[in-house]
Amino acid sequence: MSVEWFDLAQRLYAAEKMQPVPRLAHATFKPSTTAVAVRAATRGTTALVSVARDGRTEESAHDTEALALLARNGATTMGTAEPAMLLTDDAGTIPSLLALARAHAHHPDPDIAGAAAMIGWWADRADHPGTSAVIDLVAASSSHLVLGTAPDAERAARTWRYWLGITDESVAGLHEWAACIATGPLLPLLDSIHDDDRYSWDRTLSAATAGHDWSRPDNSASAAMGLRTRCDAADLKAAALLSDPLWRVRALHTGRVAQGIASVAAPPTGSRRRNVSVSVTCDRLDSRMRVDSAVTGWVGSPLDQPFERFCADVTSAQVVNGKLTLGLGSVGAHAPNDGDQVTLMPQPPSPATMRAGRARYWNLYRARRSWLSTGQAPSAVRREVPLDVLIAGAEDARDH
Amino acid sequence: MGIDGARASRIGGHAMNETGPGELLKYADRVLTGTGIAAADIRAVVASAAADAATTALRAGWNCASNAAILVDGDAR
Repeated sequence: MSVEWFDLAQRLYAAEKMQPVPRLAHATFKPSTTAVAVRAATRGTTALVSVARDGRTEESAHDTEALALLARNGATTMGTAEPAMLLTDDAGTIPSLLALARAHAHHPDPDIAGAAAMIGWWADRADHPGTSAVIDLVAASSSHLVLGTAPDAERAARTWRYWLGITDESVAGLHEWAACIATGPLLPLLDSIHDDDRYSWDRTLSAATAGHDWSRPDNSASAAMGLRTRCDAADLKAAALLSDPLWRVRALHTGRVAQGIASVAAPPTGSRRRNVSVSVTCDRLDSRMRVDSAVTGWVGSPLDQPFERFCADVTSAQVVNGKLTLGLGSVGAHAPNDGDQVTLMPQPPSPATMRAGRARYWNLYRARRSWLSTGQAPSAVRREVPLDVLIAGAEDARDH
Repeated sequence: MGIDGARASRIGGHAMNETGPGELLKYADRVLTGTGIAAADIRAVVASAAADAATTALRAGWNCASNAAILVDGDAR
């Protein structure tokens, strides 16, 4: 893949201009008035937590005092309708906070227990790519911008502060950092992940009201659903990135997006079929599109964002005269003309279909009969078997 | 103008010793090994008519970076 060369050129450009270069024309999150900037570290058995709301100075505290501090800054499930967005620049913050929260999950002070439950929710949502609940500013910055540095340097928060001109190294400075990178319209499909954040938050509040213990390990049904929601979020985030024109240009070099010339064949004479057959001779050989992949395409370059797009499945992929040719079978609305330059990319998943699938999956897991959700394998049960069933079984055995 | 040593050394200043252009140029040399391209020649490479894989990708990345500001401030919003 040539993406390393593509990225290198962007880094060299950023170094020459001495300013970060956008990787995306869209934002991956929007600033929130509920945002709480947090840094946490564990030393031995003690956790030190620093907290700042936007426009306020940093405050720090240890252990249960730290949880009370978080609650005072709106990071609690008690009496809060809107979830606080967590901003951090340190990947160790969530693990430190979670260890602290688990240690005090059943604290008699409702403020402390509420802050612990909030941390439990943050930790859960942090596993969902594209979430608006937890923003790791280093990771979010790396997906939004390229710096004129080696890639390793981008993993350090101070590199980003330097390039973004943020002089406040305290936790309060994280709000300024967030405002720097949350520019542009939100990536379209991220709305659905943020809706899921909201749904999850409402469930968390309901569970807290009902007295459920958030710190208990998931049962098998919840664990299976958790895995599924994380997978769905990852798929949506990947598709959301491809809705950005700058990302699509880069994706030509990862094989996620393909560009080529369309060949169009009219339906055979006398056929009832009205759609044309389209194949695309790609400029590059390294496309990741395979037979049966659902793709969407349009006439023009990856930078274009036309409304008129066609949808198809890849029916064949073969190299002809040294060029990759993708057969798209029958294409209806917005089909290209013969010789048009077209861009192809994977069809984005439908958030509504994903939600419906999850609801069906949940119902199956919650069914009383499901031994998967009860966690107990079914025991063997002996019963009288009707003669015709025995005969049918014997016939099957003889056939094999 | 390419990114020569003198210009590169100004980028980032003293605070960027371990994260600045020195490291970037070392990284670039590693990524460009075997292509016959030097990081310092990036502008000439982008302007050339060469169509090999490395030049094509470098040109695409450079042009995408130079057009990004226009796109971000333009119709993408």
